[in-house]
Amino acid sequence: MITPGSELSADAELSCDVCIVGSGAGGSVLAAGLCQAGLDVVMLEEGPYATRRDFDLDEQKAIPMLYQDRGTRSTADLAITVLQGRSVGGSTTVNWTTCFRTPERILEHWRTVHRIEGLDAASLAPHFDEVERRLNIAPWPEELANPNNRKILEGARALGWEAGALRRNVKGCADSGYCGLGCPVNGKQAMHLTYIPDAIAAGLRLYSDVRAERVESAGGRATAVHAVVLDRQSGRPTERRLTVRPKVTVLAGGAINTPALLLRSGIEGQGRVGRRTFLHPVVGIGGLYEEPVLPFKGAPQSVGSHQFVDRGPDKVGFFFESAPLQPMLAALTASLIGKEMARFMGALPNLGVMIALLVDGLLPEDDGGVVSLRPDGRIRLDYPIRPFLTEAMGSAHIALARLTLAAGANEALSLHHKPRRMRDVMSMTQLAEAPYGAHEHAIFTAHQMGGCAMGPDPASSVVGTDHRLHGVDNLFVVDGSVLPTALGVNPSETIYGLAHRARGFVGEAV
Amino acid sequence: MALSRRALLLTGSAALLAGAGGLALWPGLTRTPPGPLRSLDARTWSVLASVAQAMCPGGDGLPSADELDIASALDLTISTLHAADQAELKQGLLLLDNALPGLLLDGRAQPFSRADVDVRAATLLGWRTSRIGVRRQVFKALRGLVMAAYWGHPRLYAAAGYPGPPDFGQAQAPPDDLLALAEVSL
Repeated sequence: MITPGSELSADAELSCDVCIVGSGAGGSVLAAGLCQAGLDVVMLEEGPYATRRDFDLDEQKAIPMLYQDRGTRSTADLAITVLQGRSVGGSTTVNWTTCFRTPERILEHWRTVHRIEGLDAASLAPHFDEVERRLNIAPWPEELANPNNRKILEGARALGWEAGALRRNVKGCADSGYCGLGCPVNGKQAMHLTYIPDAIAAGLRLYSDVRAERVESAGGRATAVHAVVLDRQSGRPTERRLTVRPKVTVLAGGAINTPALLLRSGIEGQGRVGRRTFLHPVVGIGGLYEEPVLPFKGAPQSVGSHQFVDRGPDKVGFFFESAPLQPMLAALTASLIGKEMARFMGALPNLGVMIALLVDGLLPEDDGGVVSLRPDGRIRLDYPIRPFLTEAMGSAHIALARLTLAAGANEALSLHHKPRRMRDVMSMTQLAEAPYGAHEHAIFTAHQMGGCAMGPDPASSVVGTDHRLHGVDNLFVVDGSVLPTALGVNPSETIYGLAHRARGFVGEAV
Repeated sequence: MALSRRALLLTGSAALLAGAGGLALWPGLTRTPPGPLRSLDARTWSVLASVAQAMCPGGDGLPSADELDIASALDLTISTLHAADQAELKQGLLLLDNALPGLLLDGRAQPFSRADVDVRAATLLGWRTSRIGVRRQVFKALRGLVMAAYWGHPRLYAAAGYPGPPDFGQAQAPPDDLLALAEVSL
């Protein structure tokens, strides 16, 4: 049963076995397993329950409805635009469907550097097998790649670089290109169409438009979740309150929101909560092609390249994918105004954007960003762009420009405030000399990770390898915030898999 | 929008803040809102409208921000943000319009909203790459809001070569039957 907060006619108090805060990739997979095991589960989701009937693919309506902070979330200095979902299904409602298992080299890094035992490819395989089956995760055939993605293949082959088809969680995909605005045909196997229905069929009580404000704890145990009903139109808190008194509480609001909830609850984890927040910072290069590439049409991500994901122990690696460009998102990728902006937008049908995602958190000195609370209670995300990241941004720009020109673009166009335009390899010197970092060019993040890092030692982590908060017996974190580093791949499947694995730990705690 | 007062204090300099009050010395507004406002006041709406028009002046077959009344659309958008975000956004608009720091730092003798559109565009571009952090933040925040409202407007679809969202008949689809979607039922 899904109950919108607006249907609560009076303040309410609920008891249950498990309260899960958040309905995204972590919370939903977990909820289905717990409910199927016979547990009584209440789930709270601050966003609305939106379905294909609401997905009219109008960016001006969809982005405020389906993204955090009505689409305006960013780092404190506004240098990095944060794309993060906010509805029943969380970011799975709006992600671009790309799925990877956690790379073995990352699991090995976690074992050797962060001393995380029990997370290896073999032990995770049964969990990935199961979520891949349920979510229909499979490669998207190369021949179906839209022109925007095919350019990555063509460029990589011309340069002798690795590239290949991506796996997507779709069934009956209409190839519309609008994954980021909610799938209009229920093709994307997002949580609100898969694990949430599974959980509901097994008894889940899900409340939408209800924000968990604070976890009450005493004597090393979480005793209640205090929540407020939000007004759906304004997103603002109403007077209506919902209190849940569960045996076990699970936080699954995603990176940024979960650490913020812990901080609001006075749980700081020896100062570790909110630390080591990673973003896979994204930079891009536009390619202007002779022929239309229609970047707003077709599966948004179907080809990727990991040619530079490992650049050795002293450098930040990066990987390549493409980004869909409906007009509003396209407008936000540039820093232009006036006639220059009009020319940029006028070329949209012939414009493809390839992106590089920086793999943060692997260098010893890279401790990422910090989530904290402002005095007025708002969330603050600081993410300093340190020299090793600016180096990677510069190298990524040059590699992206090479890839774009090798793919046949007439011109590669940087997204600097003063765009650099390259027509041949000789003109790459412009990129070598260009500035990189905050407020020099567009930077995005669609992958938020960390803030409640997993590890065995309370002095250096927030949750154990069983997802249990150090020092609070019946409080767990099951979402992307437990990742001790970034992944070097899109994170959704890692979160699905970890949540599937966490079913046992949480169930045993009840 | 996450422009903090602390950032203003640290990087905006005392002159910038002190000058915010000086704005009121300049009488009248260059633009007046066409209807009731939900989040902005008449002055900040006027400044926002002057920003939007400088960023999106139209011409060559494009409508201008004024023609689309982007400032009023943004007034509605801003009304849905956190109250503190709204306050900081208004503070940023007043900072931009302020004549005193404009005179001291940019040599611009009149409030931003009273300057010619070319001067306003040049001022905004200066803020885009300013060494003063808060100026870059104000530019980024205002540009994002204005461009999203303008280029996301259906009147601009054709100019961007965008056919508009396809219709899959989803609005008429029956509600999702959650139990039918489930793999398990008890």
